[in-house]
Amino acid sequence: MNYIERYVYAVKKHLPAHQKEDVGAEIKALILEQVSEEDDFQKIEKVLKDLGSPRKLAHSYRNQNRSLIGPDHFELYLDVLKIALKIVISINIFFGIVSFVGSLFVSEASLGLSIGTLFEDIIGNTISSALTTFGLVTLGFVVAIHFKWLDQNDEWMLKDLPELPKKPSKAGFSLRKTALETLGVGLGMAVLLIVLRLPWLAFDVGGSESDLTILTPANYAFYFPIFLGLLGFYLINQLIVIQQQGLSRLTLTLKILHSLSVVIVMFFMFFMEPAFLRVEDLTHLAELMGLNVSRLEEQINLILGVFLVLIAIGLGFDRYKDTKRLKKESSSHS
Amino acid sequence: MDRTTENLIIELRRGTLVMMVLSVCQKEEYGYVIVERLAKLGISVEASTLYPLLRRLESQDLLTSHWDTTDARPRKYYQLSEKGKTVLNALKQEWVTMQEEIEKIGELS
Repeated sequence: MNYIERYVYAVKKHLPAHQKEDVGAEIKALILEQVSEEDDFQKIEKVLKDLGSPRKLAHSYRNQNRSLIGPDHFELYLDVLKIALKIVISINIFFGIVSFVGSLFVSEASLGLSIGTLFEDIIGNTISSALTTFGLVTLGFVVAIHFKWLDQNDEWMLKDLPELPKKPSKAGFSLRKTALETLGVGLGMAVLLIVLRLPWLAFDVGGSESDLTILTPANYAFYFPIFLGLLGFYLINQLIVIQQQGLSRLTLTLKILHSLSVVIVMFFMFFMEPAFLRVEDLTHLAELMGLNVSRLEEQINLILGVFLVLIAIGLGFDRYKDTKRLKKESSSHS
Repeated sequence: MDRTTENLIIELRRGTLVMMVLSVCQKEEYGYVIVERLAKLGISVEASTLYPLLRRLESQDLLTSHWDTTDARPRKYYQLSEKGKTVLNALKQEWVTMQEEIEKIGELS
């Protein structure tokens, strides 16, 4: 019984204190225009049902400015959040890898465990830092919006208008991208040469043929298909880029140079005499670092493995970014 | 009528609801009567939509209100304020302009 009073009470429960009495009285008056407590149940039920659930009705009084970050600031919020997340994630990955590489030479843990710890650390730290960043950025915006620090007047200058997105050139040539690509290929090849041939470790101990794991023919046979696969992936990637963007003479020259550099380095690595690093050299190095030889071998192989995985990830990411960029450019010019 | 059309019509009507409510409130009225007057004009508005709208218009100083407790049933009456009159005139003017523009577009096509 007393359905009307109970309905009004239920609505008031969901209203802020300053609205309770006034809105409650008004809703009660509205209901009593149509029905009274003396009416039969069906009639009362129909009127109350027509008004909707008490919670929904109360919320319709409260639905103004209910969002934490309103549409006026949402774009800026998203931009800041993206930048902050990118920085935090990059820092986590960078320090994760640095700490991992460092631990290879001091930790006695197995390789599998080291890799496991690496990913566990990176993923765990990244997730917790990302969540903290999300919370802090959101909180910062809520405070800034509350104190109206972000409110701008509507005055604007012509010079503040955003630049139009650059049209993709006929040949799709991007100086920045090509320079980065050249730098990436050059650095990658240099690191590979250094890691595989380790010329800086040659302590001039003299001549016997190496029997180190990383330099044995059997190990080369293991790595060769992987390198070949990566090279194939790289070349296919370049062909897709050319097919999507067209080709200028400069791009063509650079792509040929890149591909050639990869081929030359591979040839150098796999077909020239591997004579830089010998057991004596490695023993010497191990002594210097206070490690045993097998441990050092193990870690060098691991670094190589991680490096190959990073190249593969880099190539895949490059492909993804290119496709995304082209889609964006073509949609912004269509 | 398909769902998209229905939604577009609802949006269009929602956009004009304020103008309609302000027009009805030129004379002092209470909520239930406003719902009924709109209904008679073929404008179906749920009470759960109209009442919060009346309160919002009041908070924007477009309507004034007062409780009449002389009757056995207390009622809250709303009436267009001076600011509300100005806004209503501006909205009506805009409405006429839009109508003319739509007609012009119709003539072009």
